[in-house]
Amino acid sequence: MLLRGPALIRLARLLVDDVHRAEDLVQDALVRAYPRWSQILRKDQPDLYMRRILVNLNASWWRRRASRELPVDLRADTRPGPPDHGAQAAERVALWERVRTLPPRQRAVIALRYYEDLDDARIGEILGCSRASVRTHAMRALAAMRIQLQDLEEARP
Amino acid sequence: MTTDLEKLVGTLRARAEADTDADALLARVGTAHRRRRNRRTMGAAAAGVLAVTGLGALVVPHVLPDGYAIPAPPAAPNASLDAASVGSDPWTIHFGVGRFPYPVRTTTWSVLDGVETLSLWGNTVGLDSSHDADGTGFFVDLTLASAATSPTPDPTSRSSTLEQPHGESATIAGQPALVVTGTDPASLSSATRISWQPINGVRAELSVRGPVPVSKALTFAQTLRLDVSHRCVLRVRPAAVPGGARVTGCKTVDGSLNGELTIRGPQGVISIFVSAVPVFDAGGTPGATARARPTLPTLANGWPYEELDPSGNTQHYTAHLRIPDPYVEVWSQGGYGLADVLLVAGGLELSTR
Repeated sequence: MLLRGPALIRLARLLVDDVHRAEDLVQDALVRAYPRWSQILRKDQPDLYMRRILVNLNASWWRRRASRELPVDLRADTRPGPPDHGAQAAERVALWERVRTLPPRQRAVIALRYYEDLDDARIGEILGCSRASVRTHAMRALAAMRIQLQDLEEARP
Repeated sequence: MTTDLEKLVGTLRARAEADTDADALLARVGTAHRRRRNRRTMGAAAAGVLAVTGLGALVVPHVLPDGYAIPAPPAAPNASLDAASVGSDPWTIHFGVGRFPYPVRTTTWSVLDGVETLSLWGNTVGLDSSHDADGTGFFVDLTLASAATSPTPDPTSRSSTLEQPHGESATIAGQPALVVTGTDPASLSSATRISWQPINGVRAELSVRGPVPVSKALTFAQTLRLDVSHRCVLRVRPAAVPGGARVTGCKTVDGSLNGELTIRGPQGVISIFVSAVPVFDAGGTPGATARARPTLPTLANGWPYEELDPSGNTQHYTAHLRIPDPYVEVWSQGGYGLADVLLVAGGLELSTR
């Protein structure tokens, strides 16, 4: 659990806008997993299981709080700075703004696909949908973000 | 990988990989888990208490102390009941009752031709439709009539005869009563008839069809009280009747302003049916559009009406008309005809309690 905590927080930061809410989300997921952690470890894929809890929990949070305005912390986008320059940081802020506008499920696919680098089959297991659905979500998300689609899929399994 | 995609991956990494104090987060998990567990336990307990309280609030008023309330028109005190007045005034019911041991679906209070009646229809199990045809329904009539003005019931008539009757005596409010149990010949369901004289000169009879135990019927009979009266008031009241005729009956449904009035005269009967909701659309022709509806003629009171074909029923109507608003139907039987119906309908007035 201790080993998986940081990875889950990183994923959560991509699923929600506010870094503190990301920590709350992970904490909530871990609290739910805590009583049956030994059972989860005995399962074949505890990482997949925890990510599924995290994504589903975020979806239910999103549904519950859809009408509420949430604070947005954009500082994280400019944090990793040593080799970074001002123009690059600004570009990332702009790109992150496009990620933020995605529906939760498309956003989860983008995070799992391009940050966690999971294949579509694994993403499908986490989201509870088919590979084709994952691919559709990804294509729509990239289109919505106006990212060049040419040659994007060449390396996907 | 394209430049755009590289930028996306870089953005995601920049966003995700800020400093993380995982130890602090994990330290909070145990505490949060205990807090959540306690919250859920308290929530479940609170939900349980709420559920029990809610159930109690729903059920207790109906089943405690002695059954289900019966809807009735507003009651007024009636200090001393004169036996001769029972059934004499079609606008007044001279008795009240307590609760019934089973759920009641429909209640009518009526006075007709000298007999005051409370009729109940319900079910001994529940009022949902699944019990409509499983033999658990009941029908109850409690009648009160003056021995001086009403005819003595014919003990040989089919309607008052039970098959395989068994009689026994009982006491109701200190008065001797006869309890006859058997099978109702019409419905073949079990039946109980309890007859007694609550006061001198007044006959009371409680007739129960359906699976209501005799003990419960006797308990309900004990709740009869003559120190209250109820007014039978409907949405409309007739101000004009044919010569020699008078209102002899009034029936109100569930204590509302809807029901039926009966006018009897030397030539026959005129009936007035008052409904809360229109049974038919004004203009009445099936399939007619609103634009095609004829302009309705008006009665003496200014209310629009339409004349219906009296042969459209099996009760030998001689004339039949309806008023769309307030929804009223008036029809005649016997020697009365359209002129009499128009007279009664044109004399209707709105009434309130």
